[in-house]
Amino acid sequence: MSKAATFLNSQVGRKIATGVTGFGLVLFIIVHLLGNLAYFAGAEAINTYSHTLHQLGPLLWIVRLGLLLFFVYHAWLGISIWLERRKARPDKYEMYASRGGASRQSWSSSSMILTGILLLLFVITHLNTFAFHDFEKAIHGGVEMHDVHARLSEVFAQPIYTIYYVVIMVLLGMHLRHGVWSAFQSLGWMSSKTNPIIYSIAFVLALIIAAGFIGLPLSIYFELV
Amino acid sequence: MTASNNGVLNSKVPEGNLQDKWDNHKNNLRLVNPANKRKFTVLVVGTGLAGASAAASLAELGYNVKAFTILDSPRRAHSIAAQGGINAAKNYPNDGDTVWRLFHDTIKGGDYRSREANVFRLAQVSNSIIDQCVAQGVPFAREYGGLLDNRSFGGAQVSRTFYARGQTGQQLLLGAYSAMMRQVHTGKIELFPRREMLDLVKVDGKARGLVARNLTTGEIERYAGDAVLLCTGGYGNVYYLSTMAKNCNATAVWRCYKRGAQFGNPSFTQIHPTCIPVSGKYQSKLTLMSESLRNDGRVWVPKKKGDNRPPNEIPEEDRDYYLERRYPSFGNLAPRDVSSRSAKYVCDEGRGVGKTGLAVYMDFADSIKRLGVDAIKAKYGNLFAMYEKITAENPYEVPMRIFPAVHFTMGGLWVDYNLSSTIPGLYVLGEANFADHGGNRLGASALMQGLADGYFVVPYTLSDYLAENLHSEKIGTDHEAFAKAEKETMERINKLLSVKGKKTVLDFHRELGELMWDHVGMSRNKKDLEMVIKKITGLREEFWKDVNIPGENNTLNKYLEYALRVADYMELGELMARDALDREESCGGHFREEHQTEDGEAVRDDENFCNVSSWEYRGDDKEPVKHVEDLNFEFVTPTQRSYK
Amino acid sequence: MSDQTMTIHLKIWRQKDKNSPGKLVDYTVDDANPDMSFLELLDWLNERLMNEGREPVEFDHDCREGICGSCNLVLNGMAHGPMQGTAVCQLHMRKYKDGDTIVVEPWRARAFPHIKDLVVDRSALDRIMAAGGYISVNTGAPADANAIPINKYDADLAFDYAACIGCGACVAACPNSSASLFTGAKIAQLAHLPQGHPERKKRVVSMVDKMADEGFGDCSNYAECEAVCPAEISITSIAEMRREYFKALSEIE
Ligand SMILES: Cc1cc2nc3c(=O)[nH]c(=O)nc-3n(C[C@H](O)[C@H](O)[C@H](O)COP(=O)(O)OP(=O)(O)OC[C@H]3O[C@@H](n4cnc5c(N)ncnc54)[C@H](O)[C@@H]3O)c2cc1C
Ligand code: HEM
Ligand code: SF4
Ligand code: FES
Repeated sequence: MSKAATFLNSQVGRKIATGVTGFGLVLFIIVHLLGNLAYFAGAEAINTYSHTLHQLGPLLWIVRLGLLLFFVYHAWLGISIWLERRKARPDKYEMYASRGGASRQSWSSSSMILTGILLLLFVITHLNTFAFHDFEKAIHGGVEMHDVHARLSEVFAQPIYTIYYVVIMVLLGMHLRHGVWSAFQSLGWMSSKTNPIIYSIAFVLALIIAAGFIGLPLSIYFELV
Repeated sequence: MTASNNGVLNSKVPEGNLQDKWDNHKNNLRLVNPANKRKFTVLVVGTGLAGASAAASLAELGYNVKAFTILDSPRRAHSIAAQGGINAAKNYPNDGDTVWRLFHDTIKGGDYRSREANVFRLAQVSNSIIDQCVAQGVPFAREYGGLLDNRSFGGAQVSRTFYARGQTGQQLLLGAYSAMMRQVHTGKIELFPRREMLDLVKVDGKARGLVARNLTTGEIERYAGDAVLLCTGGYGNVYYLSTMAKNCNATAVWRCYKRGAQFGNPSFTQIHPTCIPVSGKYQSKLTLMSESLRNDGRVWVPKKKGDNRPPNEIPEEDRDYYLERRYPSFGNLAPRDVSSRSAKYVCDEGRGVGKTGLAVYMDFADSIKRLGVDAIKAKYGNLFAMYEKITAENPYEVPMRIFPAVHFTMGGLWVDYNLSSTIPGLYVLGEANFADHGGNRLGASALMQGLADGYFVVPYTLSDYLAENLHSEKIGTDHEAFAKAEKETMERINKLLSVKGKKTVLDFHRELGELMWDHVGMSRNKKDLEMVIKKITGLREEFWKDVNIPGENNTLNKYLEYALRVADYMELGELMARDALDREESCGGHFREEHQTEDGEAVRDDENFCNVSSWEYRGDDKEPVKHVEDLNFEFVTPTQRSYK
Repeated sequence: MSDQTMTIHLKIWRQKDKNSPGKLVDYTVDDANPDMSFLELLDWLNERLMNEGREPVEFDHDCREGICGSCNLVLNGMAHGPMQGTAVCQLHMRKYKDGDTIVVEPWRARAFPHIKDLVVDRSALDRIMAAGGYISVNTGAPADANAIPINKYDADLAFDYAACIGCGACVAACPNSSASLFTGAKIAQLAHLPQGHPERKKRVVSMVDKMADEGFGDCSNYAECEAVCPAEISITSIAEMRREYFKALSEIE
């Protein structure tokens, strides 16, 4: 096996890779969130933003491919870590409880696999709803482009989809509540002093991201914008 | 009892000046060449400091080593529990320490009942031990400048004790264990955990192997080798309650004794003054509170008998700071045996404190006033926390209750200067031998001895023996001596299991412990000793008729293991009493009431007892025979200890 | 000290050997003493069982002072029981109330094969140590102990990591049965000492590989290990192990 493969197959290498891909995805969704905010600036802003992205051509494809790779790899790592865990304790405890204290076991850390898989499913439907959709056309400043604004307004007018989206974003928040902190630890960027600080930062970041993503559909649904 | 000196006890101390003995000796010891080393197999029993250091060092030299331990991992040996520290004559603090001084303190502390040459060698190699441990990554305490820190320990006038928080034994053992695991990795050491040596196998008078019980399957396994190293620790558990770990036992040494190895000074026991007192019948062992506490704690009891007031309500004038009163110059730092005995006396007078009346106070109120809570916390925080965990009392507010407990056995299998027992090829290291501590061990010197024996003595002396036996025939485990040992062991086990009596092993062990503690403990007299020998004989007979051992042999069965050990304790306990009876003097931890001054201080008899009593087994129905090794003090002059 | 007694109900895992099925069996001790340690309660129970002609419960123990790492019980789902920084041998019954029920189970992990009742085989931890948990120095005459000063910060940190008692509670409590805290502690200790530097790359690679070989699970950063560790080893040691591993890339084949 090559060096890289050995590294990535080791227990520590796998964690480092989970952390790197996790961080990559977090970076992406932060950019995504900022993009979403353009909706609040009106139809022209968000449509132009989307259009500009599409103009990037090959670069866009590289980024997309990278994202896909990260995403799939991340999901595969998460699932295989979880499968490994089941093998590592064939006989379960009759009674199991967390000691609390320093423990980071929580709803969010214990449900990483669940929130992760739901995110996976969500992303597929999400791409179907927005990326592969046959958009109406809008013209801004003489340029013809996808009317993303209209699509968003249309989708989030439906209660079912809005609820679905909001729920998933809560799950994303949970995934990140443990995930962000955990990625720091996985990459070894942690000391006893920074540990509690990063744990708190992770909470705030997860909250901001989830709230940011939830803000848009709710605003649309309740016609606040 | 007959005393004879039939030439068996040759201590093999080399000629020459004290300073040169060890070097000269090393120059004369035969060597085994590297190609031949791998033809030898050495069986190392026990993986404490002595065993782990010996196993690692021998494997590094190229011998094949098989290492045995009762526990599931070599790292758990009882050495792990030592708290205080390890001595060495480094003189880093520049306070005037020298090899000579360490030697002299140790021999004086041992009340002149140890061999000069051995103790001097111990002091000589002490510095190399520290170097070795640091190189292994043992995290000794350091000062801000990055250099090693030392403290004064056990009343020594120099600071020569190296320590690692309150976990010195643990860190030293992990160092030796890691050296050992490195050799396990290279294949030079084969590990046999959960094995208990139950007999020694002798062929033509030499130690050639052992049989051990596989504690998981119950199988009796045979192991052959060219030499056997016993590193099986002390036998304090004869007393039932002691600070020793629960699995510490005397079986290996006792079985070797019964195969012909002589037992030196069996009655020399150290009773440590500062342990947490017994709280009830369910008590399974005692916990030591580090002696360092005595630097700041003041020991007292109420002046009046039966004064039941809570300690904080007893005014100064109603308290008796008895150590300060009796030993004005050493006060609370009086040596272990002296402090322990004094505590016993005040409790015997009915002035003991606590529910059982078997405890004295160690009070930190004055030190807290003088130095502040924070200073005390910095020094003893973890000890105070441990005390509180066990007793649920806060020693910052209420004085600690302490009581003496059995802690160390100076006695052990007799060994010569080469650490060889009276059976050729059977070497004894660490607490299991009798050698270096005489009548009383100084604090922080057992760790030093265990590592000295394993790292720096036995690798040399064993090579001499093996070189001599280079051409002796290899013995396989199919040799009849193995079959015989195995058969006898199986018979013993089956006999025990078939008794199916009414009393548990615990019942018997408790009874034995009580007899030993009351009569072969801190203070001994002829009448009691004679009585106790009879009682132990009776108890032993009862044991073999009425013990109830659950379960079977062919599985993990800890009460069976335990029963085998208790059976041996009963025989050893008797020998201890015999030895105590025979030694008509008081020295170190051995205090005979008949031999004391008017005000209760020990009186040694250098005329008749400046020697080692070494006992030889002659059969179950015969009395053991005592041999004597005279101790010649060429370089120091024995003086009467005085801590007044 | 206490004269009152308490009643404790126990549900103890009994299993004859690896190949037989095990189950929880109910016992009641009606004269437990609050000053007893938990292991003394088991002694007490065993004595009772033996007097009734029943088989006693097997469990590992030795020092009973919280330092040897022998004792290993899961009480009500928590490795070493409810008290922070405390091995189960140092847990006293006064922590419980009269009438409490305690479920007692062995460490459970594929890497710790079952032996009997509450006893398991933890030698996998020794094998991880054999894979590199040492400094390769032969007995002999190394440099003077004070030849290499070590700054107090590193020395103290190394000590914090060195305090591991090798009990395996971290594995037992980890939802993934990972041995990362145990392994990380040793790697981090030696990484903070100059003596440990020459072999640091080789060490981390082989110890980490060994962990996986032995069948321990991956680490998901639950930090349950730190919560149950009687030596209170911090999961920073795991972060350090990962840093060391990253730095050791060049050593990986
Ligand atoms: C609480 C306490 C604190 C102490 N503090 C200090 C201190 O601060 N400084 C100091 O210098 N000394 C101290 N001592 C004394 C010191 O710790 C011991 O004397 C020393 O560690 C003994 O080491 P050892 O290698 O001889 O034996 P041990 O460490 O006792 O090892 C014995 C080994 O033999 C094995 N074994 C025993 N019988 C058999 C058998 N039949 N078959 C197979 N294996 C067997 C055991 O499993 C174990 O591995 C302390 C002792 C106690 C009890
Ligand atoms: C928006 C997408 C996602 C983001 C931003 C994200 C982010 C993260 C982060 C930052 C971590 C911490 C990494 C670490 O522990 O080192 C993590 C862990 C994890 N992720 Fe994701 N993730 C996403 C999608 C997914 C998906 C699709 C899965 C699918 C299964 C998944 C499953 C997991 C699992 C199981 C873990 C825990 C790994 C472990 O146990 O060690 N994640 N994620
Ligand atoms: S890290 Fe803690 S829990 Fe794990 S083995 Fe060491 S002492 Fe036990
Ligand atoms: S018995 Fe030694 S740590 Fe619990």
